[in-house]
Amino acid sequence: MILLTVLVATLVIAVCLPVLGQRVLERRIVFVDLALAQVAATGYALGMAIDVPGVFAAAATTAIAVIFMAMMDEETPLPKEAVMGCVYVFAASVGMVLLSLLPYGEGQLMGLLFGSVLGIDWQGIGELALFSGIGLALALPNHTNSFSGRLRFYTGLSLIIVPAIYAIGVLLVFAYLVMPALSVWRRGHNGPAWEALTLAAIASIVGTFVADMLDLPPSATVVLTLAVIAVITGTIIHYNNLGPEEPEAPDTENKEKIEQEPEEILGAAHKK
Amino acid sequence: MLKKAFELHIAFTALLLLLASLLLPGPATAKTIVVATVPALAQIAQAIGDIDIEVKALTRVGQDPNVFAPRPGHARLLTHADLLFTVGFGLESSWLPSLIELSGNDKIIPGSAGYLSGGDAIEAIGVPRGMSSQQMSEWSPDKNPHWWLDPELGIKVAKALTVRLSEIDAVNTARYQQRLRLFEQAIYEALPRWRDYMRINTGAVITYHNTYVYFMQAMHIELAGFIEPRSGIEPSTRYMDHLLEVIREKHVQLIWVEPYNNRAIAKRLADAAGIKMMVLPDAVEGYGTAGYVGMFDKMIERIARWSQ
Repeated sequence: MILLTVLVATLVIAVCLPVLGQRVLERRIVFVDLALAQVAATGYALGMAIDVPGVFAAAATTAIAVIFMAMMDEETPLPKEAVMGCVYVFAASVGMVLLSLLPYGEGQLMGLLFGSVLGIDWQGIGELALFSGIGLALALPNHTNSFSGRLRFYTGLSLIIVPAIYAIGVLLVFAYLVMPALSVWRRGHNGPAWEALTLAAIASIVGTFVADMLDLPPSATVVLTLAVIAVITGTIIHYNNLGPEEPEAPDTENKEKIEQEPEEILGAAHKK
Repeated sequence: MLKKAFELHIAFTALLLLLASLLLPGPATAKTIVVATVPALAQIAQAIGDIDIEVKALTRVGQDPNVFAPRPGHARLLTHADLLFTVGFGLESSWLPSLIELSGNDKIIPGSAGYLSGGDAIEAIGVPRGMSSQQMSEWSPDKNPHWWLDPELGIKVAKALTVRLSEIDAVNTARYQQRLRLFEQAIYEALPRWRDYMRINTGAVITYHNTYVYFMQAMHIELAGFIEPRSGIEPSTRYMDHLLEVIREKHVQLIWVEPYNNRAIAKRLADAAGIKMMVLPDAVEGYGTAGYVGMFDKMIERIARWSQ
């Protein structure tokens, strides 16, 4: 019975997260999930400190973080990963200071940060699927590199990641976001989404049953299974792409870009 | 000329005396300062020492002593301590040794007269009744430090504390011993009442960690199992299903979790089995004997209320 909810929950994230992970990977903002989850948890602690329902406070702080992230241009000369890391440590430190003032705060925040796949029931799975659906609808369609476009992307991202981490924990969310996308990554670009999705789904099924049979912690076992499958797939993809035909595709793309760029620059200059 | 030199000499001596009185420790009028690591131990110390000592606690009610993060203020608290009163059995081992070192107080180093731990007075618990062989194998008797949740062990440690306080402050020995008798009396008066209450109100129980095992043993409550047998390691799905069977077989009605545990997992198990989950405190605000006895009163009352 509990095995079944665990299996379905890991399958839901196996469907939702890898595609999103590809968007995250190409933008080089892998830390975004940890940063958003920490901001939400700190917001929750803040809510407890000032007697506001924790969920609303978490939503408010997450919204502020999303606006802050959306202000950052996608072509920014700043290393975006470093910005995300800073958001994470800042939020974590604020949270720690708040918690030192609150009795019982620790347990609450830990519960928020480290949800467990064992704790999710059918209602939780429904909520997870609902939030993920809305989030994917917002984050996946191509957006312009404008404030509103980026805002839509980060809002979608936070709608998927924050509830997912709350429900099933950092370990699984981080793994499913990054590992499948990384595994099918080739020549500096994202691979086909179906590949990432398939290997994630296989890892969910195999990992959950292996954990049950061998009496192991499900979260960690599923992540390890995913890692093994991802490494094998990644290796196969790497050697298959050494053939003579494939390399031309990215090269021509590059050439086109190089050819286009001066025109664009000139065009922009002419317009001005 | 000579007179002036003499006056100067007197003034200088007076100044020296003043400085000496400021720098050297004062006479025996100062109270003995006892620093306890957890609130319940502070209450035991207050019960024995009351107005003759000054008691401070490092952690507050609601802070998990396993993962406590001390601040500089806590080291300063230890600097002037005459006695450090700890739970022992590894509960504070992740943060207390460095804090003692930081305080620079030689009196409270483990092994010295100013350091008293629960481990100096009592043995850790054995395997509690009602456990399966699988659970016994995961049971590490020397790792369970939550003895203060057994009132009789509280008395044993209070006795050791009385002896130690009498060594440090011999003048008040009789008063400490008198208060120990009152403390003992208060607990033995309440104990039959607590046990009766629990016998009527609760059957076998599942708990999150092994925190409440001492309490269950003292109150004759049967333990059906732990949700997380090894602290910090997620249970497997197979183990969770096994717990569901245990709940059915032993007619478990209630799951207890500490305020610090992951409630989602306990809640999920309770919902799947159609039983209730409750948060049980392991410390309660209060002073001295009344505070310590009040903690058991509150725990018993909560369990009784949730069992209905």
